[in-house]
Amino acid sequence: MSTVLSSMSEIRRVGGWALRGIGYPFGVAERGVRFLAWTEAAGGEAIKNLRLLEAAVEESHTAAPCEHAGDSGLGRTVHANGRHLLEIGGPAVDLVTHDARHASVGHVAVDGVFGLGLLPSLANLLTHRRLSGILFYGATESDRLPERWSRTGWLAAQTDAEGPTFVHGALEGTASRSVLARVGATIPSRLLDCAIEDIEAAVAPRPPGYMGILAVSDAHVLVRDFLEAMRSLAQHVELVDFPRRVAHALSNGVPVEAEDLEYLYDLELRTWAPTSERSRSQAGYGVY
Amino acid sequence: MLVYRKNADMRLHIRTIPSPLDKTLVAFVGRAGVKAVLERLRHPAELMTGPRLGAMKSTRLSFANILARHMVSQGWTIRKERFSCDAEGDGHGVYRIDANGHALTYIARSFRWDGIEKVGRRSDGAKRDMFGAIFVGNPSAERIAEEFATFELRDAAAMRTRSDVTGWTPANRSVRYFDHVVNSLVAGKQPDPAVLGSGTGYVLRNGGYLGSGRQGSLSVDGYPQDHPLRHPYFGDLFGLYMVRTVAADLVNGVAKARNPRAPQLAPDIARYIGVGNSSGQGMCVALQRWPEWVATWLLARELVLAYAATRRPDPSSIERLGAMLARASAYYASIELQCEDYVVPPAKLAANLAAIRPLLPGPGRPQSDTWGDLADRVAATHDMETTEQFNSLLIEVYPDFADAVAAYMPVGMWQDRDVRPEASVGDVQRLLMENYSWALRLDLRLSRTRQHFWYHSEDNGEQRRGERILDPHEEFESFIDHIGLIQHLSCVLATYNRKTPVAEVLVDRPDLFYGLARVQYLAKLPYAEIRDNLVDRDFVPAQLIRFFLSVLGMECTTPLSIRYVRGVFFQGTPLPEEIRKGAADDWRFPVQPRMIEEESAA
Repeated sequence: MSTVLSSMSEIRRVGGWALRGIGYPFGVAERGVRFLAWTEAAGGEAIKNLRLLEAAVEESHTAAPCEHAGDSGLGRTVHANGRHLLEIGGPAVDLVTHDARHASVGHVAVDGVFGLGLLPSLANLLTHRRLSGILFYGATESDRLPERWSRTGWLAAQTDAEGPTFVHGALEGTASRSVLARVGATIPSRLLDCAIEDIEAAVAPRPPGYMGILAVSDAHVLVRDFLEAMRSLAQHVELVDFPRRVAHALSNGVPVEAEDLEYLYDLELRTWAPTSERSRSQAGYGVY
Repeated sequence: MLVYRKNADMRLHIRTIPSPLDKTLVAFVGRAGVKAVLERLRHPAELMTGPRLGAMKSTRLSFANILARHMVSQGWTIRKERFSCDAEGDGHGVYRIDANGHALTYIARSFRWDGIEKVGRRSDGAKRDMFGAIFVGNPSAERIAEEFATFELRDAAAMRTRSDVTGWTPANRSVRYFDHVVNSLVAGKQPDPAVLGSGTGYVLRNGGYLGSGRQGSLSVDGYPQDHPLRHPYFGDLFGLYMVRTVAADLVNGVAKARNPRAPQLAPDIARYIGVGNSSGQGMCVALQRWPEWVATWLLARELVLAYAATRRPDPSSIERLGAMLARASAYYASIELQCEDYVVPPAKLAANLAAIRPLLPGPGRPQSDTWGDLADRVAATHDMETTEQFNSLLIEVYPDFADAVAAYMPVGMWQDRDVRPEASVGDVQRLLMENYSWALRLDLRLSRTRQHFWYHSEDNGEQRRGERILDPHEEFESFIDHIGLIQHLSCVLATYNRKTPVAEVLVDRPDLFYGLARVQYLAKLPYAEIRDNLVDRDFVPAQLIRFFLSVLGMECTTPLSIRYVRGVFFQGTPLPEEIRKGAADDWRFPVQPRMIEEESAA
């Protein structure tokens, strides 16, 4: 296994075409590659995960359309029907953004989803939009997650004047009971049911791939107290400095396994048309 | 009955401009003077067409000109640490640069001539006559040796660098002019400027900058905040400036290796030599992908033009514009183009500019209230290229304002390209009506209006243009069809209730993200969208290529076909030694040097 240094720009440039090579339309690829590059820069092995999940991605292109229900008052549900977060993660964040900006709080429960390794990039999108939130997740056995992340867990993102803060924790085993207990003590009652539903869905036996997002326009409402309470769960909680990781990657490059970078370029190659005398005559060069 | 009224004067009538530009404008004209300047801004319907954009000429706001002014005003130093080559041009060079207190190192590897003329196509891959690299800082000898070893691979797929390199600068020889220069020096004389001028003046041509993250190089966002190359296109263009510097050392080195008594290239000739460049239709794709860049370039350009047009002529500005007209006229009269099929011939441009000069205010001539009066008269009586060249020169008359506005370029070019999911379908439909009625009215059902699609070929990804009914791979077409995108978006939105949140539309149709975000984030940028159909049978890509090249700073762009444009960068720009000494910033439209008589016996 050898590692090469790539760059965020390179991943974004090649990755956009790579996602089209793997079957996504232009509009999805343009958005998905942002999640892909950011996650890779943050140390999330996004390209490797894409490589290992390629068959599932291809299968998702023929899945039934997404179904969604609910509103900003009741909260929302999305049945992703086996879609990757590359495709449905952004729209899920859009739903809670709409609700948080209109009603200060948003919640969406997404099932039938995979590619949860991109979860940090969705949390980052929340903070980019000046929102804070908690993302609960339960990954299928075949899904790929960041190194050392448990199959079920949560990721809280808080936005304030000093920049975004990201904290990750587990829900496996006794952790879920501890988190549930603290959730009850810290989360406002109007959000409590959503949080409990998320945790129960995330830890359900063999979940079909679950992600719940609770988003708020004011971090005081939700995230600060929650994070404060979670700090007592030291062994299940880690502060992850994603912004520093990404800034470091921008200045120093993104280490990627050679096999993964080659895979990205190979996907891009699928979008390049075969050459021919006619094709060569369609290039800019020459008088045609 | 509906009555449609044509906007008679085709002015934009916008009341606000981005805050940084507003502050700059107020600083120059006061709050009371803002309205008059903004009323001069031209309407996008007039400006954003292929023919008009293609007629635009480089200005003081063009990136190569901004970079060169920075280099001069900040006193950059470029010191040749070593350069050596043999009689065939096989050589190595190392240059140390102090860029306003930031150390850079440039290395160059020139290869023995392989007998193949390369025009710089992407399909050529790594087969170049020269490779250079710009390092941030002062790399160790081992690191430099490592990069040189990478160049030896000459295999695009295998060549990788690291984030201490901002980019590679491949380049190729122009055989005819390279040989003319070397042979002249070997014969003990200077090259004939007229011969160089017939090729618009270069010996090496750009092979396509590979930087800004490519092959593992440094991303632009990775530069320190105060770094002089953390600016759009400065990395690329400084690399080209270094290619030009190496070109002089290379011809001198080859000549010296062949004849130890050969003279060095005279400074006047060296200054007259720029870097050749050929660009294809990939540039149009970039313009479509980054409409906020187009908006920034044009808003800045139009604002400085509107400012100049609202000034009253005075003896100083009359003299300045007169001198610029004379110089530009002489420049166009001196150059010969390989092909004049798609442009106003330089001789015609030269004559037109010369004819405008007597119209400048003066004793016994009609007086103009403002420069705008003359600009309107030029526009009414001349072709678009002449008009835009005149506009470019008029901008030059007020350099202080133009330079202040230039600071906005990197600011405006960055826009948050995110969607606003809290908006409703009705909100977006209103934006479509306000900003895209021109696109919604186009009939895309006609076969000619969607005849083409653009694609990457397996020849190193070279951008090509196919026909939908004949060529394969349409499903992977490059995004250029913004009109089709807008019409499709409009159709889909028509199936929703107007109060539906955009967020819900995106769950149903994630592929609409790009179109929705584009309509939203461009809403307040008047010059963002090109009002031409790039997939139409009759669209001429060379027009947009010329526009892009003029923004970069190419003085004389020459289409050789409808999809391929040539020209020269940095011709006349001060040499490194002149920059170090603080050269004047008035180098555009260089006068062809006179033939220098024999210097030494061969």
